[in-house]
Amino acid sequence: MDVLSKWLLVPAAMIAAPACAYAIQYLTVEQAQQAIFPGAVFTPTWVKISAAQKDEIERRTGVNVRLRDQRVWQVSTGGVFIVDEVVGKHELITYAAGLNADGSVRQIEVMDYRESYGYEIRNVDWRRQFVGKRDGDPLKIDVDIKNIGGATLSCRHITDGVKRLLAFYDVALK
Amino acid sequence: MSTRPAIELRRARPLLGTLVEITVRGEDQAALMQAIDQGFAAVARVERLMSFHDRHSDVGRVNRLAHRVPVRVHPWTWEVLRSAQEISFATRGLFDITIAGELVRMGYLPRIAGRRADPRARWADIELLPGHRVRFRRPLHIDLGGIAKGFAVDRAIARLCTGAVDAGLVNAGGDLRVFGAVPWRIHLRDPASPGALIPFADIVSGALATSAGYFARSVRRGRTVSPVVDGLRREPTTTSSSASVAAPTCMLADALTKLVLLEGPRAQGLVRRLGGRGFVLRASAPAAALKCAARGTR
Repeated sequence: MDVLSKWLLVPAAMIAAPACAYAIQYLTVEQAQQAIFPGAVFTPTWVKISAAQKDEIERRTGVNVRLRDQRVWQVSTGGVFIVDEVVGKHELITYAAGLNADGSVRQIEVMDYRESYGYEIRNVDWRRQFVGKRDGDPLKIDVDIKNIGGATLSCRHITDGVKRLLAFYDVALK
Repeated sequence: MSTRPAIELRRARPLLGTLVEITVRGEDQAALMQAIDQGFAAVARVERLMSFHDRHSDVGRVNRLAHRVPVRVHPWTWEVLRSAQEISFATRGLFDITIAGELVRMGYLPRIAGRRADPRARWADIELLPGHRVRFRRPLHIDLGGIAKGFAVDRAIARLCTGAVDAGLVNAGGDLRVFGAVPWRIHLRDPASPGALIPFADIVSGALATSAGYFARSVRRGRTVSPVVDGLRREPTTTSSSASVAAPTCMLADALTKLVLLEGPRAQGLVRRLGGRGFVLRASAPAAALKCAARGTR
């Protein structure tokens, strides 16, 4: 007799599917802009960093720079607004960073969180579907938004991403 | 369900080393956004006060100084320390915030320059003095990790309980608490396959915290380790189950998950006496046990 069952044993393993995915959109670009810089006007620009600047950012932060093109919004009330994406073992997170004119962090907001267990995250096509998805429509991986009580993944990749953005600001925008 | 409010807002920010999510329901969008900001501000404040990594936080300061001089801490830090001590007393040391030394040794926490913890140090070596001051009888390290996370959720919920918010949920990496008239459905991760979500309970008010090794477990020198350490034996648990505890406050719920994860069913009486209710999610339970789950679900 299993002593646990007399107490309250909750069985797991109801879902045997090899790949599970969960996605949630918190904010669109416009919503994130207004959440971080209420009432401001945003002017988008592309900033391309040189190979030397890329090396400098990586040297300072120890974080890999994937793209040399970065979309940056100049904020009418001062500072910049940047949308960035970080990829972990099981997660892909898009977040917005608002930086003050002095290069300090004003606010970080998570825009999209996508989690995957299985083949998709290693699959380039799976990742490609998120390119250009920044301006709105939520992904239909799991439209039923859930409250997850189980332990979550750490936010280390966002922390690294913010470190990289701060160095980017210092090297390329200041 | 007929009186479901018009607006639901959900935001997430990286705080306390995890993603903290706040969801609110109500009618006034501007007031809801303000409440969310205040909720996050409370969590950020707890992070500043109780981070192990920041040498200037209350925890950073007591870890560096409190074995030599009494250190004054913020009333919030004091409150968490007092609760931790009470739970250590009730569990005879199974729950112990001085296991930070073991967490440093296993690589879950960074070393503190020039400070080595006395391996004999235990929770009883922490003295809480009048005037929110703290003194250690031996050189030791404390980590408020999970219990501070639970406390942060409680503070955020307190900020949300203003007139504008009809219902609210704060979830800090699996430690969550809700309020409001409409039940919130909570899903848990399957410990055997953390990507799979299992509908677990509908909660109207109160906290549910979950601890599990599935993301934090690792192998060091051929030994499986996890950040859940038995305060008495000073050994990490290697269970593949997850433990959840429902309790009135998230701080208590989080602390009690460690007890359930370490002790399993033997913890039941104590968990209930302290005001919680424990659940174990096993990685390899037979499907026949489904009926038991239903009892906890509704």
